Amino acid sequence: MNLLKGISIFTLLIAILIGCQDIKDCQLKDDTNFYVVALFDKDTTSSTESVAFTSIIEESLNGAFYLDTTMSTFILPINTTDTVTTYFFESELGSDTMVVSYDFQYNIFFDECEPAQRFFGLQVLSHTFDSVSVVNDDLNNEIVRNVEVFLD
Amino acid sequence: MSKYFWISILIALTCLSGQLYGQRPTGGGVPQGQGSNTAVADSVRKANKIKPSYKPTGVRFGANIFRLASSALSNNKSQWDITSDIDFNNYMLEVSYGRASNMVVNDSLNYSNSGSFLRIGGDINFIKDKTDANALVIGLKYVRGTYNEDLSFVDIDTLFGNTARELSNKGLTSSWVEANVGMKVRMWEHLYLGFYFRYRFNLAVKGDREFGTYQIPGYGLEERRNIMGLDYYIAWRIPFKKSPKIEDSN
Repeated sequence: MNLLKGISIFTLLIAILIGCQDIKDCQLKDDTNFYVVALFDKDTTSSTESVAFTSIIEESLNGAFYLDTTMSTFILPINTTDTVTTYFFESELGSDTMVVSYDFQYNIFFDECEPAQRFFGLQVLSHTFDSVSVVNDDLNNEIVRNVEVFLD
Repeated sequence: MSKYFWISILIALTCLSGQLYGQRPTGGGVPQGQGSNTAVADSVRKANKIKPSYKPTGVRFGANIFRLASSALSNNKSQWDITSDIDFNNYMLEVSYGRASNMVVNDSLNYSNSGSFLRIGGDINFIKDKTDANALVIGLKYVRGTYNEDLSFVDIDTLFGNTARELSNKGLTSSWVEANVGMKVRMWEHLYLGFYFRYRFNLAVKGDREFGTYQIPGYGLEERRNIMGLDYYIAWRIPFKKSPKIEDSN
Protein backbone atom coordinates (compact mmCIF):
# COMPACT_ATOMS: atom_id res chain seq x y z
CA MET A 1 0.00 0.00 0.00
CA ASN A 2 3.00 2.37 0.61
CA LEU A 3 4.05 1.70 -2.96
CA LEU A 4 0.59 2.67 -4.17
CA LYS A 5 0.73 5.92 -2.20
CA GLY A 6 4.11 6.69 -3.71
CA ILE A 7 2.79 6.06 -7.18
CA SER A 8 -0.23 8.27 -6.49
CA ILE A 9 1.92 11.15 -5.31
CA PHE A 10 4.23 10.71 -8.29
CA THR A 11 1.20 10.81 -10.59
CA LEU A 12 0.05 14.02 -8.94
CA LEU A 13 3.44 15.66 -9.39
CA ILE A 14 3.74 14.63 -13.01
CA ALA A 15 0.24 15.92 -13.76
CA ILE A 16 1.15 19.27 -12.25
CA LEU A 17 4.27 19.42 -14.39
CA ILE A 18 2.27 18.56 -17.50
CA GLY A 19 -0.23 21.25 -16.64
CA CYS A 20 2.38 23.98 -16.65
CA GLN A 21 2.10 26.25 -19.67
CA ASP A 22 4.93 27.29 -21.99
CA ILE A 23 6.10 30.88 -22.01
CA LYS A 24 4.68 32.41 -25.20
CA ASP A 25 6.59 35.19 -26.89
CA CYS A 26 5.57 36.19 -30.41
CA GLN A 27 8.98 37.79 -30.99
CA LEU A 28 10.92 34.67 -30.03
CA LYS A 29 11.88 33.44 -33.49
CA ASP A 30 15.04 33.61 -35.62
CA ASP A 31 13.47 33.84 -39.08
CA THR A 32 13.91 37.11 -40.97
CA ASN A 33 12.68 38.66 -44.20
CA PHE A 34 16.06 40.08 -45.27
CA TYR A 35 19.46 38.77 -46.27
CA VAL A 36 23.00 40.10 -45.77
CA VAL A 37 25.14 41.23 -48.71
CA ALA A 38 28.93 41.75 -48.54
CA LEU A 39 30.94 43.56 -51.24
CA PHE A 40 34.41 42.47 -52.37
CA ASP A 41 36.91 43.66 -54.96
CA LYS A 42 37.28 40.81 -57.41
CA ASP A 43 41.10 41.05 -57.21
CA THR A 44 41.43 41.24 -53.41
CA THR A 45 38.81 38.94 -51.94
CA SER A 46 40.25 38.76 -48.42
CA SER A 47 38.42 41.83 -47.10
CA THR A 48 35.24 43.69 -47.95
CA GLU A 49 35.18 46.71 -50.26
CA SER A 50 33.34 49.92 -49.37
CA VAL A 51 31.24 51.46 -52.15
CA ALA A 52 29.42 54.80 -52.26
CA PHE A 53 25.81 54.15 -53.24
CA THR A 54 23.48 56.85 -54.55
CA SER A 55 20.48 54.58 -54.13
CA ILE A 56 19.37 50.96 -53.76
CA ILE A 57 15.71 50.43 -54.66
CA GLU A 58 13.31 47.56 -55.23
CA GLU A 59 11.34 47.33 -58.45
CA SER A 60 7.81 47.51 -56.99
CA LEU A 61 8.37 50.08 -54.24
CA ASN A 62 8.24 53.85 -54.55
CA GLY A 63 10.87 54.51 -51.90
CA ALA A 64 14.53 53.46 -51.62
CA PHE A 65 16.16 51.08 -49.18
CA TYR A 66 19.33 53.19 -49.09
CA LEU A 67 20.15 56.76 -50.21
CA ASP A 68 23.58 58.42 -50.41
CA THR A 69 25.46 56.02 -48.19
CA THR A 70 28.82 54.27 -48.30
CA MET A 71 28.93 50.69 -47.08
CA SER A 72 30.60 47.34 -47.56
CA THR A 73 28.02 45.11 -45.86
CA PHE A 74 24.28 45.73 -45.76
CA ILE A 75 20.93 43.97 -45.56
CA LEU A 76 18.35 43.78 -48.34
CA PRO A 77 14.65 43.06 -47.57
CA ILE A 78 12.86 40.57 -49.80
CA ASN A 79 9.33 40.88 -51.14
CA THR A 80 7.36 38.63 -48.78
CA THR A 81 4.30 38.63 -51.04
CA ASP A 82 6.21 37.04 -53.90
CA THR A 83 9.02 34.54 -54.48
CA VAL A 84 11.16 36.92 -56.62
CA THR A 85 12.62 40.36 -55.81
CA THR A 86 14.44 42.71 -58.23
CA TYR A 87 16.91 45.37 -57.02
CA PHE A 88 18.47 48.39 -58.79
CA PHE A 89 21.79 49.75 -57.56
CA GLU A 90 23.16 53.23 -58.39
CA SER A 91 26.73 53.76 -57.18
CA GLU A 92 30.10 55.29 -57.98
CA LEU A 93 30.68 52.18 -60.09
CA GLY A 94 27.58 52.71 -62.25
CA SER A 95 24.14 51.08 -62.49
CA ASP A 96 23.58 47.42 -61.64
CA THR A 97 20.65 45.06 -61.14
CA MET A 98 20.19 41.81 -59.27
CA VAL A 99 17.21 39.42 -59.20
CA VAL A 100 16.85 36.88 -56.39
CA SER A 101 14.38 34.06 -55.83
CA TYR A 102 13.51 32.12 -52.66
CA ASP A 103 10.99 29.74 -51.13
CA PHE A 104 8.98 30.26 -47.99
CA GLN A 105 6.81 28.34 -45.55
CA TYR A 106 4.49 29.54 -42.81
CA ASN A 107 4.75 28.00 -39.34
CA ILE A 108 2.61 28.47 -36.26
CA PHE A 109 4.59 28.54 -33.05
CA PHE A 110 1.95 29.92 -30.67
CA ASP A 111 -1.74 30.18 -31.44
CA GLU A 112 -1.87 33.75 -30.10
CA CYS A 113 0.77 34.89 -32.61
CA GLU A 114 0.62 35.52 -36.33
CA PRO A 115 2.13 32.64 -38.35
CA ALA A 116 5.87 33.07 -38.86
CA GLN A 117 7.22 33.07 -42.39
CA ARG A 118 10.46 31.18 -42.93
CA PHE A 119 12.50 31.95 -46.06
CA PHE A 120 15.01 29.53 -47.53
CA GLY A 121 16.51 28.43 -50.84
CA LEU A 122 17.85 31.90 -51.71
CA GLN A 123 19.18 32.02 -55.29
CA VAL A 124 20.49 34.79 -57.54
CA LEU A 125 18.63 34.40 -60.83
CA SER A 126 20.47 37.19 -62.66
CA HIS A 127 22.84 40.11 -61.99
CA THR A 128 25.11 42.65 -63.71
CA PHE A 129 27.99 42.56 -61.22
CA ASP A 130 31.28 40.88 -62.03
CA SER A 131 30.26 37.82 -60.05
CA VAL A 132 27.91 36.89 -57.21
CA SER A 133 28.02 33.93 -54.80
CA VAL A 134 25.30 32.69 -52.39
CA VAL A 135 27.14 31.45 -49.29
CA ASN A 136 24.02 30.87 -47.12
CA ASP A 137 20.59 30.32 -48.65
CA ASP A 138 18.60 30.50 -45.35
CA LEU A 139 17.34 33.84 -44.06
CA ASN A 140 17.99 33.75 -40.34
CA ASN A 141 19.11 36.15 -37.60
CA GLU A 142 22.08 33.96 -36.81
CA ILE A 143 23.57 34.10 -40.31
CA VAL A 144 26.08 36.92 -40.78
CA ARG A 145 26.39 36.74 -44.57
CA ASN A 146 24.17 35.35 -47.33
CA VAL A 147 25.45 36.83 -50.60
CA GLU A 148 28.96 37.91 -51.66
CA VAL A 149 29.18 40.40 -54.54
CA PHE A 150 32.48 40.78 -56.40
CA LEU A 151 33.07 44.15 -58.12
CA ASP A 152 35.31 45.30 -60.97
CA MET B 1 -2.83 23.96 -14.28
CA SER B 2 -5.77 23.68 -11.78
CA LYS B 3 -7.61 21.21 -14.03
CA TYR B 4 -4.73 18.74 -13.87
CA PHE B 5 -4.33 19.30 -10.11
CA TRP B 6 -7.87 18.21 -9.25
CA ILE B 7 -7.82 15.33 -11.69
CA SER B 8 -4.63 14.07 -10.06
CA ILE B 9 -6.23 14.30 -6.61
CA LEU B 10 -8.93 12.00 -8.01
CA ILE B 11 -6.24 9.61 -9.22
CA ALA B 12 -4.56 9.59 -5.80
CA LEU B 13 -7.83 8.86 -4.00
CA THR B 14 -8.62 6.14 -6.51
CA CYS B 15 -5.31 4.40 -5.94
CA LEU B 16 -5.61 4.62 -2.17
CA SER B 17 -9.07 3.06 -2.18
CA GLY B 18 -8.31 0.52 -4.91
CA GLN B 19 -7.62 -3.16 -4.44
CA LEU B 20 -4.32 -3.47 -6.30
CA TYR B 21 -2.91 -6.22 -4.12
CA GLY B 22 -5.66 -8.75 -3.39
CA GLN B 23 -5.33 -10.61 -0.16
CA ARG B 24 -7.41 -13.56 -1.37
CA PRO B 25 -5.63 -16.88 -1.58
CA THR B 26 -4.64 -18.07 -5.03
CA GLY B 27 -5.41 -21.53 -6.41
CA GLY B 28 -3.05 -24.27 -5.29
CA GLY B 29 -3.08 -23.41 -1.58
CA VAL B 30 -2.54 -26.04 1.04
CA PRO B 31 -5.83 -28.05 1.46
CA GLN B 32 -7.37 -28.25 4.95
CA GLY B 33 -6.49 -31.17 7.11
CA GLN B 34 -2.91 -31.52 5.88
CA GLY B 35 -1.51 -30.12 9.11
CA SER B 36 1.53 -27.86 9.43
CA ASN B 37 4.15 -30.34 8.23
CA THR B 38 6.40 -28.33 5.88
CA ALA B 39 7.60 -31.33 3.93
CA VAL B 40 4.05 -32.54 3.32
CA ALA B 41 2.96 -29.01 2.37
CA ASP B 42 5.80 -28.69 -0.14
CA SER B 43 4.98 -32.02 -1.75
CA VAL B 44 1.32 -31.06 -2.03
CA ARG B 45 2.24 -27.76 -3.63
CA LYS B 46 4.44 -29.51 -6.16
CA ALA B 47 1.67 -31.95 -6.97
CA ASN B 48 -0.82 -29.15 -7.43
CA LYS B 49 1.52 -26.89 -9.42
CA ILE B 50 -0.55 -25.09 -12.04
CA LYS B 51 1.01 -24.37 -15.38
CA PRO B 52 0.40 -20.77 -16.53
CA SER B 53 -2.43 -20.44 -18.99
CA TYR B 54 -2.31 -17.87 -21.78
CA LYS B 55 -6.00 -18.14 -22.54
CA PRO B 56 -7.66 -14.72 -22.30
CA THR B 57 -9.91 -14.36 -19.29
CA GLY B 58 -11.79 -11.26 -20.40
CA VAL B 59 -11.81 -8.11 -22.47
CA ARG B 60 -11.99 -4.53 -21.24
CA PHE B 61 -13.55 -1.59 -23.12
CA GLY B 62 -12.94 1.94 -21.98
CA ALA B 63 -12.95 5.63 -22.80
CA ASN B 64 -10.44 8.40 -22.14
CA ILE B 65 -11.99 10.65 -19.50
CA PHE B 66 -9.41 13.43 -20.02
CA ARG B 67 -10.25 13.83 -23.70
CA LEU B 68 -13.99 13.79 -23.06
CA ALA B 69 -13.64 16.36 -20.29
CA SER B 70 -11.44 18.55 -22.49
CA SER B 71 -14.11 18.48 -25.21
CA ALA B 72 -16.86 19.31 -22.74
CA LEU B 73 -14.92 22.27 -21.36
CA SER B 74 -14.02 23.80 -24.72
CA ASN B 75 -16.18 25.06 -27.58
CA ASN B 76 -13.30 24.77 -30.03
CA LYS B 77 -12.10 21.29 -29.22
CA SER B 78 -13.71 17.91 -29.84
CA GLN B 79 -11.92 14.67 -29.07
CA TRP B 80 -12.57 11.16 -27.92
CA ASP B 81 -10.51 8.05 -27.50
CA ILE B 82 -11.80 4.52 -26.88
CA THR B 83 -9.63 1.63 -25.86
CA SER B 84 -9.82 -2.09 -25.43
CA ASP B 85 -7.46 -4.60 -23.90
CA ILE B 86 -7.33 -8.35 -23.58
CA ASP B 87 -5.12 -10.36 -21.29
CA PHE B 88 -2.85 -13.31 -21.99
CA ASN B 89 -1.63 -14.26 -18.52
CA ASN B 90 0.91 -11.50 -17.66
CA TYR B 91 0.70 -9.91 -21.11
CA MET B 92 -1.94 -7.60 -22.48
CA LEU B 93 -2.81 -6.46 -25.96
CA GLU B 94 -4.26 -2.96 -26.26
CA VAL B 95 -6.00 -1.41 -29.24
CA SER B 96 -7.25 2.19 -29.15
CA TYR B 97 -8.97 4.44 -31.64
CA GLY B 98 -9.52 8.16 -31.33
CA ARG B 99 -10.70 11.20 -33.23
CA ALA B 100 -9.87 14.81 -32.53
CA SER B 101 -10.52 18.22 -33.96
CA ASN B 102 -9.35 21.60 -32.78
CA MET B 103 -9.99 25.17 -33.81
CA VAL B 104 -8.10 28.36 -32.98
CA VAL B 105 -9.75 31.66 -33.89
CA ASN B 106 -8.30 35.01 -32.86
CA ASP B 107 -7.07 38.29 -34.30
CA SER B 108 -3.85 36.68 -35.52
CA LEU B 109 -5.11 33.59 -37.33
CA ASN B 110 -7.91 31.14 -38.02
CA TYR B 111 -6.66 27.56 -37.68
CA SER B 112 -8.42 24.21 -37.61
CA ASN B 113 -7.42 20.56 -37.73
CA SER B 114 -9.18 17.22 -37.64
CA GLY B 115 -8.03 13.64 -37.77
CA SER B 116 -8.01 10.19 -36.28
CA PHE B 117 -5.46 7.79 -34.87
CA LEU B 118 -5.14 4.09 -34.16
CA ARG B 119 -2.95 2.73 -31.38
CA ILE B 120 -1.88 -0.87 -30.98
CA GLY B 121 0.64 -2.52 -28.76
CA GLY B 122 1.39 -4.65 -25.74
CA ASP B 123 1.81 -4.32 -22.00
CA ILE B 124 3.41 -6.45 -19.33
CA ASN B 125 1.34 -6.76 -16.16
CA PHE B 126 3.34 -6.98 -12.96
CA ILE B 127 0.43 -7.93 -10.70
CA LYS B 128 0.48 -11.69 -10.18
CA ASP B 129 -2.92 -12.00 -8.52
CA LYS B 130 -5.42 -12.19 -11.39
CA THR B 131 -8.51 -12.40 -9.18
CA ASP B 132 -9.67 -8.84 -9.86
CA ALA B 133 -7.88 -8.45 -13.21
CA ASN B 134 -6.08 -5.38 -11.84
CA ALA B 135 -3.02 -4.29 -13.73
CA LEU B 136 0.22 -2.41 -13.18
CA VAL B 137 1.79 -2.27 -16.60
CA ILE B 138 4.71 -1.18 -18.70
CA GLY B 139 4.28 -1.29 -22.43
CA LEU B 140 5.09 -0.11 -25.92
CA LYS B 141 2.62 1.05 -28.56
CA TYR B 142 2.68 2.08 -32.20
CA VAL B 143 0.30 4.84 -33.27
CA ARG B 144 -0.69 5.86 -36.76
CA GLY B 145 -2.99 8.70 -37.74
CA THR B 146 -4.32 10.81 -40.57
CA TYR B 147 -5.30 14.46 -40.40
CA ASN B 148 -6.09 17.69 -42.26
CA GLU B 149 -5.32 21.29 -41.39
CA ASP B 150 -6.55 24.67 -42.59
CA LEU B 151 -5.05 28.09 -41.96
CA SER B 152 -6.19 31.55 -42.93
CA PHE B 153 -4.74 34.89 -41.86
CA VAL B 154 -3.55 38.25 -43.16
CA ASP B 155 0.19 38.42 -43.74
CA ILE B 156 1.20 41.94 -42.68
CA ASP B 157 4.24 43.47 -44.38
CA THR B 158 4.90 47.17 -43.72
CA LEU B 159 7.02 47.50 -46.88
CA PHE B 160 5.27 45.40 -49.52
CA GLY B 161 1.71 45.48 -48.25
CA ASN B 162 -0.69 42.98 -46.66
CA THR B 163 -1.71 39.68 -48.25
CA ALA B 164 -4.65 37.44 -47.32
CA ARG B 165 -3.52 33.82 -47.12
CA GLU B 166 -5.62 30.64 -47.15
CA LEU B 167 -3.58 27.47 -46.84
CA SER B 168 -4.43 23.78 -46.42
CA ASN B 169 -2.66 20.57 -45.51
CA LYS B 170 -4.73 17.64 -46.73
CA GLY B 171 -4.38 13.90 -46.28
CA LEU B 172 -1.32 13.97 -44.04
CA THR B 173 -0.25 10.81 -42.20
CA SER B 174 1.51 10.72 -38.87
CA SER B 175 3.07 7.93 -36.86
CA TRP B 176 4.88 7.70 -33.56
CA VAL B 177 5.85 5.31 -30.77
CA GLU B 178 4.62 5.41 -27.19
CA ALA B 179 6.28 3.95 -24.13
CA ASN B 180 3.78 3.78 -21.30
CA VAL B 181 3.40 3.04 -17.61
CA GLY B 182 -0.08 2.61 -16.19
CA MET B 183 -2.55 1.14 -13.77
CA LYS B 184 -6.05 -0.34 -14.03
CA VAL B 185 -7.94 -0.88 -10.82
CA ARG B 186 -11.29 -2.61 -10.25
CA MET B 187 -13.59 -0.21 -8.46
CA TRP B 188 -16.94 -2.01 -8.45
CA GLU B 189 -18.19 -5.18 -10.13
CA HIS B 190 -16.66 -4.99 -13.62
CA LEU B 191 -15.97 -1.25 -13.54
CA TYR B 192 -12.34 -0.14 -13.75
CA LEU B 193 -10.51 3.16 -13.46
CA GLY B 194 -6.99 3.57 -14.69
CA PHE B 195 -4.34 5.89 -16.07
CA TYR B 196 -1.43 5.78 -18.49
CA PHE B 197 1.69 7.91 -18.57
CA ARG B 198 2.60 7.94 -22.26
CA TYR B 199 5.99 9.06 -23.57
CA ARG B 200 5.57 9.81 -27.27
CA PHE B 201 8.59 9.85 -29.55
CA ASN B 202 9.89 8.99 -33.01
CA LEU B 203 7.30 11.19 -34.73
CA ALA B 204 7.12 11.02 -38.52
CA VAL B 205 4.81 13.07 -40.76
CA LYS B 206 4.25 12.42 -44.47
CA GLY B 207 2.38 14.34 -47.12
CA ASP B 208 2.56 17.59 -49.06
CA ARG B 209 2.09 20.65 -46.86
CA GLU B 210 1.33 24.28 -47.69
CA PHE B 211 2.34 25.30 -44.17
CA GLY B 212 4.20 23.71 -41.27
CA THR B 213 1.99 21.38 -39.24
CA TYR B 214 0.94 22.89 -35.92
CA GLN B 215 -0.98 20.21 -34.03
CA ILE B 216 -1.31 16.49 -34.72
CA PRO B 217 -4.50 14.82 -33.42
CA GLY B 218 -3.59 12.30 -30.74
CA TYR B 219 0.01 13.50 -30.48
CA GLY B 220 0.13 17.23 -29.75
CA LEU B 221 2.36 20.00 -31.07
CA GLU B 222 4.40 18.87 -34.06
CA GLU B 223 7.46 20.92 -33.05
CA ARG B 224 7.88 18.79 -29.92
CA ARG B 225 9.81 15.69 -30.91
CA ASN B 226 9.13 14.09 -27.48
CA ILE B 227 5.99 14.53 -25.42
CA MET B 228 4.98 13.17 -22.04
CA GLY B 229 1.23 12.85 -21.59
CA LEU B 230 -1.25 11.50 -19.05
CA ASP B 231 -4.49 9.71 -20.00
CA TYR B 232 -7.15 8.64 -17.53
CA TYR B 233 -9.63 5.92 -18.43
CA ILE B 234 -12.89 4.45 -17.24
CA ALA B 235 -13.54 0.93 -18.48
CA TRP B 236 -15.90 -2.05 -18.25
CA ARG B 237 -14.52 -5.57 -18.28
CA ILE B 238 -16.39 -8.50 -19.80
CA PRO B 239 -15.07 -11.77 -18.37
CA PHE B 240 -15.14 -14.74 -20.74
CA LYS B 241 -16.48 -17.15 -18.13
CA LYS B 242 -18.33 -16.62 -14.87
CA SER B 243 -16.64 -17.43 -11.56
CA PRO B 244 -17.86 -20.83 -10.24
CA LYS B 245 -20.62 -20.62 -7.56
CA ILE B 246 -19.70 -21.82 -4.09
CA GLU B 247 -22.31 -24.52 -3.25
CA ASP B 248 -23.68 -24.89 0.29
CA SER B 249 -22.56 -28.31 1.65
CA ASN B 250 -25.61 -28.67 4.08
